[in-house]
Amino acid sequence: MVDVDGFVSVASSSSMQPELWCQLPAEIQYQVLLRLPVVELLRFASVCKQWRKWTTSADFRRRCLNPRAGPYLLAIRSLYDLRFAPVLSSDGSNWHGLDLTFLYNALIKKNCVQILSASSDGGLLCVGAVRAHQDPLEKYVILRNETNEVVGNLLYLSLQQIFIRADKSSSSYKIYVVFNRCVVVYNSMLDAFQVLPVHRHIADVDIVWTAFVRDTYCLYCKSGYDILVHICDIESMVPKLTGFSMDYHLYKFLVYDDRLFCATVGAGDCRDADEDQYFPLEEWELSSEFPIELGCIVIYETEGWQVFDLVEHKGYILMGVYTNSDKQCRWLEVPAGIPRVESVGKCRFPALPDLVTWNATAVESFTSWKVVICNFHFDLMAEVQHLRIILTAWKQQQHSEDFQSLKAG
Amino acid sequence: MHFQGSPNMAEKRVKLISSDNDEFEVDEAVAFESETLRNMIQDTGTNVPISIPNVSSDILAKVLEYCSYHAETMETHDDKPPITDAQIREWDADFVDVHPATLYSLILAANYLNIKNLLDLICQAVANNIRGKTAVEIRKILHIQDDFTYEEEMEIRRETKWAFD
Repeated sequence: MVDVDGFVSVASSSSMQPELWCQLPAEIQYQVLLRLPVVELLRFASVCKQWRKWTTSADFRRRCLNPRAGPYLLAIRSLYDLRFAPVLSSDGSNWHGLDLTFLYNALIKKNCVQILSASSDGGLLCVGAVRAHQDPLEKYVILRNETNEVVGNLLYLSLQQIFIRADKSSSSYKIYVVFNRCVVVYNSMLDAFQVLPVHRHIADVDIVWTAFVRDTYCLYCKSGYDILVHICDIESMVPKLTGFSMDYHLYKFLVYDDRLFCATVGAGDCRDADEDQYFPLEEWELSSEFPIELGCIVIYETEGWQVFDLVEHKGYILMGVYTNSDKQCRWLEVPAGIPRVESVGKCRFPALPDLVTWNATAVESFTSWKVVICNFHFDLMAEVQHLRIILTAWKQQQHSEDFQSLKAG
Repeated sequence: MHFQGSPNMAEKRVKLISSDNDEFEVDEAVAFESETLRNMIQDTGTNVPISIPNVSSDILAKVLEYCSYHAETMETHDDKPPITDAQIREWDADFVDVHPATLYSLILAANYLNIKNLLDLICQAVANNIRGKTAVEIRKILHIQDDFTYEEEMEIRRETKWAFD
C-alpha cells in the first residue's frame, strides 16, 4: 500500500497544474463546467470556442438543472409494464429494469388504463393517463417521483401531452398540459392553473403535438385536412413560424440543439435511394425574431421499419423504430447534420431488454401514443410541495371565463 | 442504484490489482460502489482477482478509501449512532483537499470505475477551483489556447456584458 499522506501535505487548493486539464476527457471537462454558477459560465463562454459551444448548447442548459443525474432514458409502454420499465443507463451501455410500482399502484387506484404521455425534468416525473372507458371523460394523473400523487379532472377535453419544466433557480416548476384545442399550464410558484390564450390564427385547428424550443417557445403541430405546423410564443401563443407538412401523418417532434426534427410516416419507401426522404423546412415562413435554426424533417416509412419515437439522449438523437422482420423495437442513432437513411442503420445502444415483451404482433401497438419515452432524471429525492392543491385549483379554474369560452369554442 | 440492490453479500471479498501490480482486497460492498467493478463481479464472480490496468496503487488506495467510507455510511449499527450527512460532507471535503495532480488522477479513476458520487465530488472540487476567475485567468491557469479573433471576443463580451461587470 502506498502512503497517500504525502499527497495531502503538498496540497494546494487554488493553483492548478496547467497541463493536466487538457488531458481530461472532454466529457469530464463538460461535467466540471456544469457545476459552475450560470454567471460564471457566461463569462467562461469567452475562454475558447469549445467552451462557448458547450455553454450555449441546449443540452448544457438542460443538464445545468441537474448535472449529476444525467439523462436516463425511460421507456414506458403500457401501464402493466411499469413494474419493469426499461431505463437506459446514462452511459448508454445497458438497459436496467426500473421499478415504477408506486406509479402503477397510483394509476390503478385511479382506474387508469392507458398512459398517454410522460415528461421529466429536474428530478420530477410527470405522467398523463386515461381512465377506463366507463364515461367519455378523459382524466389525467400527475405524479412526482415518489409516491405522492395529484389527480385533476379535465372535463370534456382530450389530453394529448404533458410537459414538465423545472426551474432550479426558483425551485419551481411548470406543467404544460396539451389538449386538442388548448394548453393549460400549472405554475407551482403561483400554485394555479392557467389556460393559455389561443391566437386567432390558430384557434380553429387541432393540436396534435407539442415540443419546447429553447426556454420560451413552444411548438404546435395542428391538423385540419392539411398538417399545419406552428411554432408559437408560449406566453402569447402568437405564431412565429408556420409551415405545411404535406399530407403525412405527423408522428413525433424533437427540438435538439436548437434544431427541429420530425419523424413521420407517409408515402415513400426508404429503400429507394433516388427518392428524397427528407422534407426540408426551408420553405417555411420564418419570423426573423425566431431563434431556432431549422433542421429537417425525417420521413421514415419502409416495409421494414416504422418510427415510433424520437428522443434526445446524451447528446444524440435516437429514433425508436419497429422492424417488421423480427418484430422488435430498437434504437437507432440519428447522426448530426442532415440524416441519411443509409447512415442511420447502425445501432448505438443495446437492444431493449427482455424485461418486458417488446416484440409485438402488430405495428399499431408501437405508435407514439402507446410508447412513452422521456429523459428521466433519476433523482428520487426530488421534492414537490402543494401537490394536493392542484385538484382544487383546477375546480376553481373550471368556473373561470377562460374555461367557459374555451368550452363554447 | 436502487434497482440493483444485492443484500447480505458483505462477507464476500474482492481482490483488485492496480496498474503497478499491487494487490488490494476489499469487501464486495466496497467494490460495489463502482459500477464498473459491480458489472465485472456480476460477470465473473469474486474468485478471480480483477485487474485495473489504468489506475495506479496510490490512486486506487485513495479511491478504495473513499468507497470504504461511503459503503460504511450505508450500514446501520445498533451500537453506534448513524453517520450524519454533515459528517459525510466534512469527510468528503477533506478527501478532495489534495494536490491537483492527485485530484486529476482521481477524476480519471472515478470516471473509469464509474463511481458517480466520487466523480461528482471531484468535478465540483475542480469547478470550485476555477470559480471567480476571469476568462483570461482561466486560460492561463488551465493552459487553454485563446482561439477567438478579437472581433469574436468583443461580440461575446457584448452579448454577455452583465456577466463581466
